[in-house]
Amino acid sequence: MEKPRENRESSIEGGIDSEQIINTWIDNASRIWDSVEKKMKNTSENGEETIFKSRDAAKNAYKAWEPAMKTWNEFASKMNKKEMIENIMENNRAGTENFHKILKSGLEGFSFFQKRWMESAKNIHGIFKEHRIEGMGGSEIFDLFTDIYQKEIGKFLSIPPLGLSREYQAKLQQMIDKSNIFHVKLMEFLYFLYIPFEKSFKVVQDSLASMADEGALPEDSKEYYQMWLKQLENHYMSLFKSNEYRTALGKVVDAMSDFMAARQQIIQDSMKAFGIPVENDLDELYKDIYSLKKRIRVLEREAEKNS
Amino acid sequence: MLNINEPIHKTLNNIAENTEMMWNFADDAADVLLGDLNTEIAETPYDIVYQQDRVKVKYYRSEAPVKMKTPLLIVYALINRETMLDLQPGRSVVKSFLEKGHDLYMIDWGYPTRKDRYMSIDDHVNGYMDDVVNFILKREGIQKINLMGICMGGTFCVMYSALHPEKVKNLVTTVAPTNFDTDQGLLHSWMKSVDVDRLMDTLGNMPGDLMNFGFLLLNPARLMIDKYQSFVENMNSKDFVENFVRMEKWIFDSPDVPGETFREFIKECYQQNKLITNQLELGGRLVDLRNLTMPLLNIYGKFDHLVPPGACEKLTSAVGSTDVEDVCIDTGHIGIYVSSKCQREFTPKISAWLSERDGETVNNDTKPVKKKPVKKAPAMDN
Repeated sequence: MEKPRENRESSIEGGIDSEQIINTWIDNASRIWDSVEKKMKNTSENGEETIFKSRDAAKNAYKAWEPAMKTWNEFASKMNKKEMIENIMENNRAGTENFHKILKSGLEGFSFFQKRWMESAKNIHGIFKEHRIEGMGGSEIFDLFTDIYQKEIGKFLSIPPLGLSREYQAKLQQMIDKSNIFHVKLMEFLYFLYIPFEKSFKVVQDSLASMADEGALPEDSKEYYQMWLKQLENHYMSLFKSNEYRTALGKVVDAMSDFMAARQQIIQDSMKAFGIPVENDLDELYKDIYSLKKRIRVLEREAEKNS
Repeated sequence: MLNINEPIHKTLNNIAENTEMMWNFADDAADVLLGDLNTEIAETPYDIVYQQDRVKVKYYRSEAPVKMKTPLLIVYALINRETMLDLQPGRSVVKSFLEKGHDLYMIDWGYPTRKDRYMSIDDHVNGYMDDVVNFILKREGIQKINLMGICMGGTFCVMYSALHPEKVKNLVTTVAPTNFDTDQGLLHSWMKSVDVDRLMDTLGNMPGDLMNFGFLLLNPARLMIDKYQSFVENMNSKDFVENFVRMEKWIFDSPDVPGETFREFIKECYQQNKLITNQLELGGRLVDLRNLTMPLLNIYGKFDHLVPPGACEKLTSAVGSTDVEDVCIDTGHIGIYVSSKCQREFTPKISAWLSERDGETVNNDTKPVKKKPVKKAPAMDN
């Protein structure tokens, strides 16, 4: 192997001499590979035995390594040249410039998305204003959330999936979407069921306050309980007859049906993967059995009539 | 100087007495709950004399002699179980009828599974019910039976009697909804807001547990709070606990309702009110209540929150029969069967009414019956 040049002039005046560092590294690496080559050639400088016991094995091993060593020698000799080192430096500088360019375009892209998010936030604010919620609001807060979800958040779940598994992705997206809607409707329904508790407690508190003023507070604790229970019952009756409750009931039942149907799709797909018959398969069978039984029944009756 | 010791002593004394009372109560309650409790229901012996799919017919064995010529077939609702008619000794409608000398059959609708989801009202009325009636007619060697329907079972009996009047001698309906155009009951207004097609397409059958929850919601204050508060107060009474547990066993023993039947019942009855307006079709045949020409006894509860009086009282004026009677009892939906006071009024009334008509041999095919003018039911906005 060609020995690298020694005593080279430094390529950079002052500061870190990168050329000398590289040369030193190449020199040391070459010495290591030289000794490896000699060991593998089954001869040594001093005629000592090499690490390989078998001459053939050593030769074969050397043959496998020879192309790599030749390439390394070629590389090392090229690296010693000043032009090569200058090229490497130039590439480093170019790399840094490119990195800055990438960073800049990345930041510009981020600011583009940030702008979109700000627009979305502005739309959400608009929806808030539209609903005119004051303070914590009542059940309107659920309509508000549904509106925000459907207009600004849920649309991400409507992005069409791609690829071989697109159908399954679409079903999963739908299930997540329906689950979100169902939970909001359920919260709204439970909120309605909670209202009579709140109102009855308030009414009882007011009644007790006026009874206390009159000095007519009941002694028996059961009377307090009965007072509260009656109020609770009355408030529930008023609630159940209201349009708001009926609407909430209809919505939660619909949302529950949609969510369960979407979830069932996922479960059925998973079961099919295990070769287990699913509900739809069984329903088709049941339908066939039902139709057959009905036909048999009609035929039996006709046969009875004729006999 | 104000003596504050006395009220303090009094309060402490009260607390001590109450604590002692509380411990005694807890002790008694523990004895009751951990002791031997008889909470069996439906103990009157019977035989299964007929079965088709999940549907069975019970024939009750009577120790008393049978006095009535015409057997009585009781058709319960698809919601909850017919065991309510035989809930506990001393409050058993079944036993009362047997003691009065009735030959008693009862349909047990069983527990529908997913394979029953396509069973429609027509399958129940013109299918199962007709087969059961034919079986009993053949078994007894008679032409007609007495039919008694409860709640949704009563609605089915009305449909059956209008389609097969030649097989029904007398009809008794109890708390049976026939007119659904009323705002008196919450169910009537709630069902108009439900998309039953979507629900049934998803669920298949209507789950019993979901229905139970819906019924509890009709009065959560009483049914979910006060009821159990009352139980806690009376936990030390063995009789109370046994009766309470029997009721709990029955009320939460709720089979699923076949999907198609539930769909049709909600759409065509609750939402479109087709039955009372003679627009309902079963198996391609029109259910015309004017064809219901046999004697009719219609019993309902004044304080029934499930099937209010407004849902029952129009039946007698819509049918073709002239021998009709409405009886309104001061009770709720199930009080009519389980309240001991109502038991004393209810079964004797039915028994006496049937007995009066047991010896008649009215044949609707040959003898013309004078019909009351039919009042047109109000139009229903769908």
